[in-house]
Amino acid sequence: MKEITVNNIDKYEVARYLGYKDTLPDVEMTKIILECEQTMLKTIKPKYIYRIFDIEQIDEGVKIVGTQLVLTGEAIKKHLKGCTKAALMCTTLSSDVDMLIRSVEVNNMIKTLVYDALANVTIEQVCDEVEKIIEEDLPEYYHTWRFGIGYGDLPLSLQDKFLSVLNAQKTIGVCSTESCILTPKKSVTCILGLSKEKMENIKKSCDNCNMKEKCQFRKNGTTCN
Amino acid sequence: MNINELFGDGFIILDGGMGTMLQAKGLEMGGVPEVLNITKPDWLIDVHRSYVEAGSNVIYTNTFGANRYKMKNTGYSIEELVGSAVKNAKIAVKGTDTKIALDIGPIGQLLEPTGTLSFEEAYDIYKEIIEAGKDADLIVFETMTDLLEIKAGVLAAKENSSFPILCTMTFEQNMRTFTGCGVSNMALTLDGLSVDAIGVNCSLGPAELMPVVKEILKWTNLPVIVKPNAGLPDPVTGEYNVYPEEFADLMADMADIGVRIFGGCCGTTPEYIKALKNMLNNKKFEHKNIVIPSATCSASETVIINQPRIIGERINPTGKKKFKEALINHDMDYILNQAIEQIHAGADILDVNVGLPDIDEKQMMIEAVKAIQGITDTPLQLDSTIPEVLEAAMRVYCGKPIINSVNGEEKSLKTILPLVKKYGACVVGLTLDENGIPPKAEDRVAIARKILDRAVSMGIPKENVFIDCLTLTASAEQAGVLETLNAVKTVKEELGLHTVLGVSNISFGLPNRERVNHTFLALALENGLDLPIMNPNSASMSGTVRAFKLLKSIDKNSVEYIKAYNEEKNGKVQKADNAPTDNMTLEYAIENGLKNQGAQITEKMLADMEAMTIVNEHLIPALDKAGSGFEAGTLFLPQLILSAEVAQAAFAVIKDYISKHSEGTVSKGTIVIATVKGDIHDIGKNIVKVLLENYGYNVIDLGKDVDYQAVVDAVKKYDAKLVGLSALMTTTLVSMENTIKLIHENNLDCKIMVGGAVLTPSYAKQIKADYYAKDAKESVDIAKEVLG
Repeated sequence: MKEITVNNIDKYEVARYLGYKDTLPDVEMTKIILECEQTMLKTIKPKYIYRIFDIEQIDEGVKIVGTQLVLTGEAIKKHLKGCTKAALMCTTLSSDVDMLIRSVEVNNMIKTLVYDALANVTIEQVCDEVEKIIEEDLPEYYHTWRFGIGYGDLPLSLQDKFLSVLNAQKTIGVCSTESCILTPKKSVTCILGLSKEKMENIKKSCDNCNMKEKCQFRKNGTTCN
Repeated sequence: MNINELFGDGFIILDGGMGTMLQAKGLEMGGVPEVLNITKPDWLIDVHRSYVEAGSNVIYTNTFGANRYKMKNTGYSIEELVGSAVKNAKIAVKGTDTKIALDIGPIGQLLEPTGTLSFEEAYDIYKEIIEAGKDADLIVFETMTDLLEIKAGVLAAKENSSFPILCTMTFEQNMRTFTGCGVSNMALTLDGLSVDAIGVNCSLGPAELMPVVKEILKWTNLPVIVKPNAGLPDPVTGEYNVYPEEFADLMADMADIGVRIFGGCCGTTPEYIKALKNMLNNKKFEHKNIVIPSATCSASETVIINQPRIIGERINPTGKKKFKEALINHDMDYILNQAIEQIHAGADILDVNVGLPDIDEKQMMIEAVKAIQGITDTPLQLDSTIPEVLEAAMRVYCGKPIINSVNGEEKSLKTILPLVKKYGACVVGLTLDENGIPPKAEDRVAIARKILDRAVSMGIPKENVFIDCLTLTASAEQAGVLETLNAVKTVKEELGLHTVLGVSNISFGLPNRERVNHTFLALALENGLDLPIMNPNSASMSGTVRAFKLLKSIDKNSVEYIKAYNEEKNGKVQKADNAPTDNMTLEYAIENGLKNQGAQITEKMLADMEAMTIVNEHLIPALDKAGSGFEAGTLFLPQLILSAEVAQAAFAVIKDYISKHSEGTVSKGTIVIATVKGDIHDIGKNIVKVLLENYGYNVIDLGKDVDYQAVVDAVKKYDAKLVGLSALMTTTLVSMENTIKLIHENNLDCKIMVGGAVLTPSYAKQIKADYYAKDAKESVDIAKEVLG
């Protein structure tokens, strides 16, 4: 497994997560963000696991061949249309990040918000890195954008089975709670469709996002991309 | 029954991979291997037999995930799944000496506070497996990454069976488990719990595990287990890269340095076990006895008592009005703040005492220990006069704690020491007995000796016994000071034990106490004091310890000393900048996020203004202004929070003033808030809390993942007229609905407001909430409407 290191967290993204739209944080706030970034970089222990499977479109969804996992619903069927394989991926920043956030939550809400935003941006950066690794490992394939469990009508209740196919607890220490919340909290499970033919789903957009109606970014007049 | 009775005193060979073998037989990924115990018993018997034939002295039952959580959708009971697993193993070992280990892995959910599984539930889950596996010969916990989870399992095993217990945890190349548990932490804790062997399995191959194994051998005299993978898997093909002969060669090096129990994990097959057996045939196991350092630990921090270590004394309500109020109001953040403050000031260990006559001390102690270890790695000293409280705390503590305290009275020795032994703790022995505190040093030393002898006779290692020779008040018993110091010296030198002293008592009744305290501290350190129990927040006290370490060449090249005071110097410079200018107003400080200035201005204002006037005419209007800016989109959430934090600092000053000068209160009413059952996302709720507090409401924060009933109980207990509930996931909205239902069923006279990312006003109405708050600002508006 290639190791993933993060040396720099995208501060524009962090500012956007914090709710800034057309302005940037002021000097004091920027200082806090930069200071927290250093601590965050020391705290994270990015880990990932991915596996490539053949897939099969069936009535109720998409079957992951050779496993007992069926990704159910219309959204994932549409997302993986035309794909012959899929990469199942799970990433995490580790439970140390949860502890860091808990410890500042006691007496410093501002840092809590900043750490939370930094972690959200970092886990996406880690996912980006894993995407790059998959691209290197499978150079002959195009891939779709990352479809998260819980998007559209792909139920969160698949979380356990998905983690078990990846053996994610043993390999990177990620579990899910009875309410299907991933733990450590800053973890992601997602699916990339793979095809040798170029396809439409390469970029995520508001039109193919199920958060479109509730999205905080859109309420603020921006988007996440 | 122990290991030697089962196997003799030589090497022991375990089995190899199970998953690997079952997949080769046709188990699909994501399938449940334990179900095969019932549906394909011949597969299991076959795999077990191949390991027996390869030379395994122990085979593991196919029960790694056989717990009620992972098995909930299989349609089989734990009794059926575990029972059939043991039965299959019995068939396979028939006619041989091979023993059967009941194999137990992680439950599959993380424990609190990262996950939602409680220690107590984990214990029950393990107990169920252990009772179902009563026909095995021993119990093994493997692939564990959370020290508290394996502790729950070990206690369940100890209390519900008499089998030998083997424990292996899974370490990464950085010598930590996924949850951050270190090697010494595992060894100190599990050795303390008197398991029969400890070690490492899975994650890496034998070559990569060598550093981990070497470290384990430094921290235990128990038999050490190594069960590595067959090297590292290829990410694309999944194939492992170490073959049987090479595997055995690498393991030979481990046999030479003291490992006694061998096996294989993922990717290993009977071939690997055969190779191991051949390798071990040419070797003889020799036990090497090592000296284990005296130490206390949490899951990820080990504090070795090889130099003075500061035990912070501030988590203790004695003589502290605000602390008592916090306990009564269940204000855990107050206690956590005390922890954080002391750690920043230099505490190595934290004493935790939450004893108050009017509260349930046992319950509070459990909650405090869980909460503190959820935010810090610093080891804890558990402090209570009630044995049941100490035991409850020791159970849920993740690591090897210090127990404060036992004394020379027969009753104390008989009740406390068995607990210390059972949970593998260190213990503070007070040199007093039925006749009180002896005035003479030699009599105190005699009590220390009695405590030590009794502890050792019960199997408590000498290095776990610390002695407190007791500080008397210098103003009342001046001659006693020297007796204490002499006793410390003798206990240290003649008994060879580490010493503890509560330092601050010395100056009771004298002016300028701090000066007496730090001078006494220096004297005591020079006479052999290792563990001063003191206030680390006092600069002269922690400074004395630092200076002592420097002067005694413990702090080599003065590194720690310089680091501490360079930082302090920088801190001071900053503070000077933070002084408010003469014409700065509280409103300005709030608007601009100037926390220290806000607090200082409030102090000045209190000199000639009523507290409530400051709150109603200055603080709240300034917050309202910030809130309106946020609503209008001219101010962003971080700025709103910065303003709120200034207001919070100002409020703290006002509350402090009121508690000193009157019995009055600034509270405008009580609000209970909670993140509902099943949900662990609580940042939004915490923002709401800060804002509500700033508007003068008394907020009872029940935390996250809160039971329905706990919300109802709190509303009744605090007579709250408003409840705030938050949920962030579609999967936990149902908990919100259930909580509301239960509040209504109980006919409580309170309004309910709800909020959270996935909520909508119409859904809030549908689940019968009274109000939907779209953000923290709106929750304040609702509170104003309901409570005024």
